[in-house]
Amino acid sequence: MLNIYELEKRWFYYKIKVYLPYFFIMIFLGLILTFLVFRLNEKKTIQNSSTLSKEKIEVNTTSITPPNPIIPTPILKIPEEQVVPKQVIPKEQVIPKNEVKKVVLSPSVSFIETIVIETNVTNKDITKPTLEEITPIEVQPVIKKIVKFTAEVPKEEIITRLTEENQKIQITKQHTSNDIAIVIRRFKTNNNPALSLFIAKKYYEIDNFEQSYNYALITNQLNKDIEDSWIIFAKSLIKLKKKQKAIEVLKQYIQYSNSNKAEILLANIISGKFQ
Amino acid sequence: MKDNIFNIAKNIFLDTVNPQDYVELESISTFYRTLHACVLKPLKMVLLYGKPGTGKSMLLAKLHDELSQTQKVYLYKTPIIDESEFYKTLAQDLLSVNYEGELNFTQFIKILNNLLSKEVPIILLDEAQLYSNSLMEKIRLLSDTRKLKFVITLHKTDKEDLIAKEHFQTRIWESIELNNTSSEELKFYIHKKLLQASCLDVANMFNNNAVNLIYKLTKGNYRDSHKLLYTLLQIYSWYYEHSPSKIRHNKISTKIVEMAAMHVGLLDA
Repeated sequence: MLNIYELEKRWFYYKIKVYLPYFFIMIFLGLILTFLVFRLNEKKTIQNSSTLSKEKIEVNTTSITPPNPIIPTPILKIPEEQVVPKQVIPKEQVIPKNEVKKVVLSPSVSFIETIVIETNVTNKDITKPTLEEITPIEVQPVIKKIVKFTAEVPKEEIITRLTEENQKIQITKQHTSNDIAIVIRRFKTNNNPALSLFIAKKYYEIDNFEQSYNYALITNQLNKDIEDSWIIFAKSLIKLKKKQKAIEVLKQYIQYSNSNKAEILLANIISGKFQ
Repeated sequence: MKDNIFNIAKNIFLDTVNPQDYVELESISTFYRTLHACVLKPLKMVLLYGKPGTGKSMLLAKLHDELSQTQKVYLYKTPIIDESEFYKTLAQDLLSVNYEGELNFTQFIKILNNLLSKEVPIILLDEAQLYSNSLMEKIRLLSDTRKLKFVITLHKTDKEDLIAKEHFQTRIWESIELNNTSSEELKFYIHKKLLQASCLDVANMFNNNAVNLIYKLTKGNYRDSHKLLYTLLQIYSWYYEHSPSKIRHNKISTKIVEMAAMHVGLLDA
């Protein structure tokens, strides 16, 4: 006599036995696939970051024009014999011939000195300002021609990097120049505007307004659309007792970007709340 | 409640050798025609061999059934192991001589020479691999007298060595090897068997997939197929009576085929 219930049980176990190897094979393949996808993503991320830095370098070479045409004068602490890297924006890109007033924006010499000493700057396009170019020029009116950036750092990317950097700073939060130097080294290798902005902020926090000004300027040159950079830039100017320039810079930037933050800061500066 | 059609159908596949159940398949018909032609020739011995369950016994039974109407033919389905008993049984059947006591080969030859008529009777020996070598040698000598013709069936086993011996080989005029059936023939076989018993509904359930699975499990062996089909229909019969919602009447379930195969030992589970 057949025991159907037992047969059904045996059949069930037989089926499990039959499909078990396939199940394990599927899991194995799934793991391999996941691993491959993971590796691929990793590679992509590395490629993206490298292309990003390349793009940034390109940006640097093609259009260093900040959104507003005001090119503030450098902070002059320059010993005259010092060799200064070229930082001046090519004339044909920035200043139209019929402009009346010109402001050449360039970093302070002491800052440039540190760059020269610490590394061999790979960015060929940061040109050395000559002594003639360094001569102070007054604020100029609106530049009609604005070169558009094609490659921009995605906002998410910036935020992530900033967060990463913030985390690192939090670990060694001593505001020593050595700590900032590490970030500066990193910035020199990849020219990431997020890093330069970070450095500018840090310098601003420790009341080194000259360096804060310089790095904000570099950030603006790399990416003219970073609002925080312009804010730090203007604040640094105020702290360096260049209120008028700060106002003009902010006005130009507001005209360009309609930034609320910039408007609030401008109002504060004009009213004297921010000094 | 309707008649349990599966219960009727399962009995068709009982493993019995009945010439009435013979299903004429193309390959088997060819073998049968060859065998039939062989026994009509003045040969001494015909060998029918193949693996167990390839239909040798059925073919022999069918031959006996057909030839018995026209000539003297004797079928021994069960081997007679004892030599004296073998001669005495032959003497009894062929010559109606009832011998008491021992009967040896020489005495049997004498009886054969004195009493046998001109008509050469055909002796059909099934399962000849069970005969001893000595008796097989005697059978060879008996066939040499031309007073008897032998058709023997043999499993394809060690006995083949004996058959292969030259002195034995020369006396075999014809040897026929039977093989397992093909998938297509198995389908035809199942359908024809069921239709012979008027189980049309059950026959329609055996589609190509079901037959292919059965073929895969049995490798086309008739005996294994019979066992599997019997158990399969037995399981169907049980479901029909106890849990009819679990079976479908339009096709054979793979699950039930596999369950049947597990029960008969064709599937290792």
